[in-house]
Order: sequence, then structure tokens, then C-alpha cells
Amino acid sequence: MWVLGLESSCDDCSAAVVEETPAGPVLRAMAKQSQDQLHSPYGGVVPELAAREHLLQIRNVIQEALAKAELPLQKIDRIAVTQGPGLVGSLLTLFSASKALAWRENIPWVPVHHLLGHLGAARFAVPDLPFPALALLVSGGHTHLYRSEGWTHLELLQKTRDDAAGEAFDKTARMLNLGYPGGPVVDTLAQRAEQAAAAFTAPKFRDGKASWSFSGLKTAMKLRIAAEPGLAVAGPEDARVQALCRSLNETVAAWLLKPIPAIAKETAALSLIISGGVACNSELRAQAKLLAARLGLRLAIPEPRFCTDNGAMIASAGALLPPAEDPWPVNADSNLKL
Amino acid sequence: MILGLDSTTERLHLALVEGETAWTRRVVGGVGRSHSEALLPTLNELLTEAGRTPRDLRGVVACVGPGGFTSLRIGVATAEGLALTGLPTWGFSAFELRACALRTAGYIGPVWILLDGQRNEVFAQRWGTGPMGPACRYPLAELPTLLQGQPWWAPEAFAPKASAAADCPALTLVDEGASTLVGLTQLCRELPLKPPESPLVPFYLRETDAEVNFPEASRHLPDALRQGHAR
Repeated sequence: MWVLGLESSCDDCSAAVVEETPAGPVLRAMAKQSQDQLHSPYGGVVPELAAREHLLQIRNVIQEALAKAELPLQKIDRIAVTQGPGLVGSLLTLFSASKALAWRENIPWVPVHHLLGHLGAARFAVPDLPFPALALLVSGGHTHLYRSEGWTHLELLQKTRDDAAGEAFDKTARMLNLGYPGGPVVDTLAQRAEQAAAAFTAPKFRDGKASWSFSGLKTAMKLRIAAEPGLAVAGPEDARVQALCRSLNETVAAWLLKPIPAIAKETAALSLIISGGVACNSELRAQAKLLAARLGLRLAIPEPRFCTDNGAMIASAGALLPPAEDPWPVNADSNLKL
Repeated sequence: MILGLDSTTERLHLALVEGETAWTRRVVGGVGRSHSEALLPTLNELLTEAGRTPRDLRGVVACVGPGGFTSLRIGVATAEGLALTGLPTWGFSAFELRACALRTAGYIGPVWILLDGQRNEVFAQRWGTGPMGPACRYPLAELPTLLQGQPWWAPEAFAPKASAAADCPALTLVDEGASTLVGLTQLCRELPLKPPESPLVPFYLRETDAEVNFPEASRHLPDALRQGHAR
């Protein structure tokens, strides 16, 4: 089965052609228009600009994906598209276009929850993953841990009490004038550091749970930068900046993984899935590998191009979901629930 | 068979046109996202009336603005999706649609066409048989300075607000909905005589708040992301 997967929930406009085989999904082609340069001067995504840019890229990304796959639209068996959650203006671009495509060509059409897409991205890594699994979905907007009984199921176990982990990277990069988006640049500099700066103190919660909070980390980083004259403008070659990035990398990875052992035991999880943009982080990937080995969990982390938002993950999820029975009145939903 | 669509206001206008025959519909919905729910089902109704299928379409003419950002995006994105099935596309402005509606109702012009620019502003363009100048954004409170006593028209949803600000009476259409659909039908006949446009580029006439609040950071933005492609 050939699936065209489309994703435009935030600032990435992506289309992918995926072949669903008995052995799992196989990527045939992917097109992706990143808007990093567009939003970089603002230090974050500007929703109205994102939507305007998506609208101009609809033809490009879909045509490019089909051309790379050397497949005409008429050979597509199913169209899968992100329905939500996300920025409504961005969502509605590929969402509306996909419905029109499916309508005229009479192609089955599947609306996909964005987080099921991130879960589906892990199918490219380990298609035969044993369930139940813990799914840590972590990005600039999410830091959520789910229990999953299969590739189309997510049951929330816990989430960050304030900011998403990805924000810590973006804000740190901004405070250190390192550019946008922060995750990749902080990770790159962290890997160049000879040693980490002093560790950050982990938050403690009154209920004693191994929970998540990242707002305090941003404040601590701000104080740390302010305490060292010149650090904010020292630039990426400065050893102190690199050491601080490494410390942030190690801190975020350790904090994210801290609840996993106890919850894996409670839920009798057989696997650990980590997906979303922050799953690209090298330190998180390394620490997760060690932890999964220690706990005897099968680990599934998509390769980085499938971790950030992309059409392939939507195709992967859409291949397993039922097509909409009455698709044409279906609307995008910026607050779509699982 | 040509599809015409206008989703730039809370009223969705659709037309299927083949030669001298047209099937049209005006759907009054909410502001913003509701067109996403109504557009294709209404199109299916029209196709059923016409005894045709989506495969019988031969082109799409779509309103590219100015209008509600979200609602115009739904129409333009739908047209872009249809374009990917091999259909040629043509864009027209919200002013052109209204001018065409007025013309088919017998108003030759010149006439100022005033649209709701939100934020106490008006989107305005003067039309005769074609545009007589660039579209502009103007403070509602200073409307008399723009109009200079010349004839003007505004859609019924905006007309009371515009009338309160203007110092001369508006032109009116007896049946605005019917006239708009006749105008849309006319555009379905006229625009396919021109070269197709690919892709359709919206005409926002209003920049994003980011451009207003962060002008230095916005220097890199192309015109298509600022006020859009002026018509």
C-alpha cells in the first residue's frame, strides 16, 4: 500500500511517500520545507508567517515527494494528513489541500493526530517492537510520557508541569545568541565541549514524584549566564559556552529519563519509544540506550530526520488507522484530543 | 466545467460553470474555520445537481483575498490541492469579484469598493471596467477623505460600519448574494481565457503583526509573505 503523508502543524511543511509492507513502513521519498530561516530573526515560530509560507509551498512539497518517489498521484492508495493539534493556520493548509486531492482522485483519506505521527515515526526504527511500551514524546511543545499498547494507542501517564524540554534548548540558544532553532546548535556545541559546566540542580516536587519541570532550568540558565560577564555574547567557539551547552544536554537527558525505571516497572513495559524533535539530541539518545539496556527494554528512537515533524511519520501512522468514513466535513483541530 | 470559489468572508460562494449553464451556492457560515467543513460537501451537492463528478472539473478560479486570513487560506489551499490533480488555476481579488457583481447588476462605475479591513480600517479599491488604481488600506475614520464624495459600495455585512464613517450614501445591490454568484460565474467564464497561475499567491493587503512589531527582524520577508501579491 502506497501512502502519501502530509504534515504542516507548525513550521515544517512536509510530504512523504511511504510503502506500507508486511515488514513495516518503507520510506520511498520525502520532501520537507523547513522554515527555520524564516523564523530565526524572531527567535521562535511566528504562526501567521508559518501559515502564509505553508500555503506557498503546498504544490512544491507534494510534487517533489511524488517526483522523487517516481509515482503518479493516481497510484497513491491512501492520503494521511495531520489533523491536529498544532497552529490552526498552518494545519489548515495541507489539511485543506489533502482533502481536495483525495476528493477529486477518490483516494481514501485519513486524518492523523500529530502525536500518533510521532509514535508512528518509531515504526521506521523498530517495526516489530513489542508492546506495551512507554512512549516519551518530547519536543518544543510536548514533554509527555504515554503508555502504549500498540502503534495507534497512547494513554497519558505524565507530562511536564510547566515548559516543554525543547524550550530549554531554544531559550538557552537565544540567551547565548547562538541562533535558532536551539536544539541542534546546543547539541553540536555540547559535543565539542571538553567538559561539562557545573550540573544544574534537579527540581524536587512536594508529592515526591519523579516528575518534570523545565521552567526553573531556564531561570537557572539565565542566572548562570548573567553571572559570567561577556558569556552572553562570547559565541559558539567559547569553551565556557560549549561547556554550558554540554551541561544542559546532560541535564535535560537525565531529567527526562529519570521517571522511566519506576514507571516501566509499574506498567510492565517491554519497550521504550522516544520521539519528537528533542529525540534528535545525541546525549538523550546515548543515555536512553544505556538505560534501556540496563532495564531490558527494547529501544525505538527514530533516526533524526523522522524525529522532527515530517510527512513520513504521518504516513506511517495513517497506514494503520481507518480512513474517514465521511471525510469531507472533517475539520482541522488545533486542540485535537487523542 | 470550471469551479469558482470564494471563501474570503463568512459567506462561502461556490459556482460550477459549463458554457452558459451555472450551478451556484452561497453558504452562510461562521468566521474562520467553518468553511473547511462546508466547502467539499456543498461542492458535492452542486455536482449532484449538475449530474457530474469531480473528474468533470477542468479548472479552478479562486478568490485570493483580501479577506479573513484563515478563511481565505481554506479556499486557496483547496484550489492548490485541486491543482495537484492536474487542474489549471486562476486567482482573482475580492475587489474583482465585487466589481464583477456590481457590473452584472448594471453598475458600470467608477465605484469605490470597500471591504472590512478589521481594526478600524477599510480595504479599498476604485473600479471601473477594471481596477483604476492600487488597492489600499485606509483608516475608517478618514473615509470621507478617500471617497471625496464619489460612489462607493460595501458588502452588506460591512456596509453599516462604512456608512457610519462615510459622508455620502452607498450604492446597494437588491440581492447581494445572487449578484455575487452571478459575478463569480462571470469570472469562471472570463479568467480561463488567461494563462493559468501557479501557485496561487494570496493578496492579504495586511502585513503580519510580526512585521509591524519587529520591523528590523522582518527585513528578510518577501512580498508574498508581507501584504501578498497585489492585484
